[in-house]
Amino acid sequence: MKLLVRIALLFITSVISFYCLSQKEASMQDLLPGDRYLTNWKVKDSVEIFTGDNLFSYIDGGADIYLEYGFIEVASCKYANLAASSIRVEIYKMTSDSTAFGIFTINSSEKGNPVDLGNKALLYDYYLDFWKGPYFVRCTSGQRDNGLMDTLKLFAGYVNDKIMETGREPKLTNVFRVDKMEFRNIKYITGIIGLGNVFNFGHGAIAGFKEGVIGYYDDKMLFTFSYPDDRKCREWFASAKGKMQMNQKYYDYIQMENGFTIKDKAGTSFCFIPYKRFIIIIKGLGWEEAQPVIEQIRKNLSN
Amino acid sequence: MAKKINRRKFISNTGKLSAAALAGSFVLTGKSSFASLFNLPDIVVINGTHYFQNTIQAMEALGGMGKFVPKGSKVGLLINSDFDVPGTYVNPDISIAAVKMIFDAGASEITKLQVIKPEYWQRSSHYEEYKDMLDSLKVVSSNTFPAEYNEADFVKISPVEGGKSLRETEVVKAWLDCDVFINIPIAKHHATTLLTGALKNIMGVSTRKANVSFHLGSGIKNDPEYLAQCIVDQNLLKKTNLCIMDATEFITNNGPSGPGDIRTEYKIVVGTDIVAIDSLCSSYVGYEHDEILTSVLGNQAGLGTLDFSKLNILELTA
Repeated sequence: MKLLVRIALLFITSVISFYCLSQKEASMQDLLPGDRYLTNWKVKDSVEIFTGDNLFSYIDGGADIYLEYGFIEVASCKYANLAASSIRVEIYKMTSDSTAFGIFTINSSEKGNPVDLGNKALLYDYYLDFWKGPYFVRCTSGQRDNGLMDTLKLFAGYVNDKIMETGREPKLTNVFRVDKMEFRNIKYITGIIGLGNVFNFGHGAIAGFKEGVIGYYDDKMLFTFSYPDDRKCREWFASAKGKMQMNQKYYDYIQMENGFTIKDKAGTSFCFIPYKRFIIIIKGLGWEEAQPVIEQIRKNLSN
Repeated sequence: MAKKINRRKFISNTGKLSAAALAGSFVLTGKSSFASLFNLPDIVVINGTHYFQNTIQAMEALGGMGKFVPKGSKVGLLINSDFDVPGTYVNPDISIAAVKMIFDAGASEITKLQVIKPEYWQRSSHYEEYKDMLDSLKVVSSNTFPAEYNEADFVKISPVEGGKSLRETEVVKAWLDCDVFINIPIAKHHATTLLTGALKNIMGVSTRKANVSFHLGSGIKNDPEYLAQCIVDQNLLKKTNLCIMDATEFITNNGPSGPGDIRTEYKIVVGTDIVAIDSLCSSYVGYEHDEILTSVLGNQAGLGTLDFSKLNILELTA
């Protein structure tokens, strides 16, 4: 009798697992256009789906950064037309709106032109990226062909319409609400790989943070890193202070009342300021010039 | 730093550099055999848009392919070809020029250490002319992404002699067995190592399982230092006899698979010091050479020179 019960339970579990898996795959697949979506464009290869660490079997190098942000699943499909042009559509499901926003920002550059899709979309010379809810979507043309730009938008538009979730940018991006300063090319990062793709303070100088935001203003940069609590933040700030002083690429270290300044080889000033559980860094402003900006950032972080 | 030489300028130069420049310029006029009479540069950088011809000219200025490929030798060729979008793979004109020169030097066989898809070669305007030659290349047919271990084509290595992080790996046998190993990478961005170049390209000879262990094997996810050290450790298994780096057109973000912002430098870099070549090319991609962990650790492991300015670099403009 016990054996029968076990077999029955195993059977039910298997059926439920299979059902759940099918549902999951179907839901990601449903976001992708099918064969009949656009005349002359056919699915070239079957849909590929990868989850978790299996992303390494999809992306030949470069999977780490997706995993650092918090990757769940990717659905990818290649389409081809009669003229042998191809377009690949990739939908990355991330762990949250914030991480989808983050992977979108780390992939973004100032060469992108805004397009009205999802929460934010950028069109480049042969690909289009957008994020919406927990999804990061990329549509890539196999060729740099202006004639394919409208088709890219159509594919992206299909996916956009299918994604029902809406998204919110992480709260930390509020630090960029500074009077008379319009920050551009904002990056949201969750680890050292993301940071390394934007700026290198030297090995391990800035680490241990939970999240961070980076924005550009003229030739200046503003960094804000968030730590789990005040104590951790103080520890990492002390570590950063030590490592920056030891780094031969930086000189002219000056201890200030609440923070320090240092210069790089080009003579550019950096201000490092701890505030509650945050480290604020401003590149391109001296200590005095930076004070009004720091004051506003502190207010933004307190709200 | 590299010294720039063009046709008009070379005659006015003196000493070692002018000798090398002379060799380069004779290449331009088709009298390259004089190259061996002079002290040759450690690295040659050639600028220009005719990538097929420029690859040949750069090699002639380095002493000619025959200097690296003895007659009758078996050559293993690793080309970073397996990507689709612009700026992520070696321009096939460069690869075809290399194959032509290797055969011309008298190699008995060339083995592609990684599968190269037909469409890769077809992107070159030289494909039809050299189709038969390309069809004659041997291939490690199971080494295609994501490659799985099999006893016929791969060998398990444990321990990795001299390795600091990499304890075991699975690599293509033909790589270890070839007489001459020629590495043809592209200089481009990589999200974790910042640069994909010659050192990083060596992950092309190992299985997916081995490569994933480079990324995750330290027990800490996303550990750039461990990844870089594993790459360096694997390079200790076999010396690169010649590197032909494509720095013509490449992505500067979203690497290694792209798509991303494309920078055009129109440069092809040839030499044998893979650390120095990576260091030099990191500046094209937008980094200082000591920011690239693979270069720093590669230098520490004795694989080459981090400070490329110590070398004799000849820069030619075709």
